[in-house]
Amino acid sequence: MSEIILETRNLTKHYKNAVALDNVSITLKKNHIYGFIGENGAGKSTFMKVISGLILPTAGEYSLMGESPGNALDDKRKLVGTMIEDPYLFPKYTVRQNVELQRILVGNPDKMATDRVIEQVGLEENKNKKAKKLSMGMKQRLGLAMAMVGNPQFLILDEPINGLDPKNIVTLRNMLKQINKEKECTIFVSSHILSELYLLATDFIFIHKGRIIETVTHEELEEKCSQYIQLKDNNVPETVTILEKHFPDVVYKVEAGDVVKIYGKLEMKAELAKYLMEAGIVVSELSEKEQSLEEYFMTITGGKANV
Amino acid sequence: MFNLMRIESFKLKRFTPFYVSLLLVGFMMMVTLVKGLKPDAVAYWGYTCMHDGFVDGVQDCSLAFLFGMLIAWYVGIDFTERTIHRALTTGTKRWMIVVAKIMATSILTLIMHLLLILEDVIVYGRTFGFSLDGFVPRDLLWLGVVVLQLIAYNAFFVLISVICGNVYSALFACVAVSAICGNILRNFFAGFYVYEHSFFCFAKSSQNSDLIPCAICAIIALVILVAVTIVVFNKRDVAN
Repeated sequence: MSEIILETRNLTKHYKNAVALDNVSITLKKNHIYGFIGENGAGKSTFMKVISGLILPTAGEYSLMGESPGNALDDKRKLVGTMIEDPYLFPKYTVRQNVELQRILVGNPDKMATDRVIEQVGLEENKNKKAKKLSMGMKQRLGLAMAMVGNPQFLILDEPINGLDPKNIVTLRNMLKQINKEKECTIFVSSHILSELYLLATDFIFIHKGRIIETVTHEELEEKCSQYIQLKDNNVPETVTILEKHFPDVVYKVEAGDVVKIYGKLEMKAELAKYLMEAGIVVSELSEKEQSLEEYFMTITGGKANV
Repeated sequence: MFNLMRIESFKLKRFTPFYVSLLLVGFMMMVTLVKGLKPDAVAYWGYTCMHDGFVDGVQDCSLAFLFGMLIAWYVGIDFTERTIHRALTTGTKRWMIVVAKIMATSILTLIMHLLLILEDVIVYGRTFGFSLDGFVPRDLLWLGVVVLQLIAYNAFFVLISVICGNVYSALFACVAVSAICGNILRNFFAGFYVYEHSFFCFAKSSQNSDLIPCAICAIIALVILVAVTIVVFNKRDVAN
């Protein structure tokens, strides 16, 4: 069994009347890359801020590398690199000064670490440039350098590819994969660019309206995303009734143009066709198709009829 | 804590508003040096020697609003630029951050206050002749009590800045409160025992009747303010 880096139990956060996190219970294991997926306001940043110690949970508990909040956890936090929303840069200080301050803060005695991580993120030519004069991509790389200077075992990155051009996205992805591989660092990364997360993560956690709605491995997601049945007929309400009656476990979505998408169980196609024919429904399309991660995300968060 | 103080010291050395304030005080010093002491003021207060400059300077609260502004700026900017997140996410205890901020801002304001005393001593020395006559070891005790009051004063404005949670509202609140409590109320509460021995008024003499109540008040205020700030900060989400 893998070593557990983060475990949350019924973590809840309320802001006045709004529920930002609702009984979130997840477990992150060592050396995995977790993609944290959710729409705006789903609770991604709030969750990351809670586990980073910036905000306090209303209820529930969590442990980081086996330690619950307290003195021992404070020590473990030095092994956690974070970049939530924007990197926390001192704008008037240079790249090197920003990283050096972070090195001192995390108590890393290795003075060479500062220049090493600056080189790793490709900022050595800009190390004497003030942070406020950096481009968005460079700021993100500087944020990553700061997160890495303490030799972290766990990286928490919120939207790290926001504002990056395609070249920088590829660079960052390769960098994260390298850190994960070489340093056995667990990475917890959120992004709106799902296709990018798909290329990076080994596991995916879907959050919607403050609740974890699904946790899957890359392989499982690949399987789920791969194929679905697309049905087009002249009586969608009756089709839905048949689905609910004969296939209560399937996930389906009704879309505009009398289209019904049925996920996961391709083998039911023949049986479904039989029921539709018996009900006198005229089927104009009954085919197997593929869906993207984006489509899958839409299905499990918003477009699903039977949730 | 040591690492945190190293970082605060790095930031202090590069805190531009502090240097601008120093320039301002330097400019004031130059103006006073050129103009000299007003003869009617000398006659009214009975100034006779350089030591009177020390007496005048050590209890001078006229930079109160400037102190309020510097503290708000120094503490508030960390919230606005979200650099305070760096300390929090690396497991620095919140009470350490509060103590480090009070220590750092106390250094800033102490330098400013010492400069003010120096200015007065030089101006008076230039008028009456440079001489150490009148200076006694007890003056150091007086200065020590004023430093204690200054630290309590800093703790008060650090609390306001932590409650505000951003540089702009902290600046407004601290400058307003420091100008009202440190500058304006002095005209209304002259002779009011409690106010005159609070940290808004620095000890007026080296007599025990002034130093003891001022020191007790400063220590009590400091303990309460630090405790309240830590409690407020510990219960606070830093989520901007």
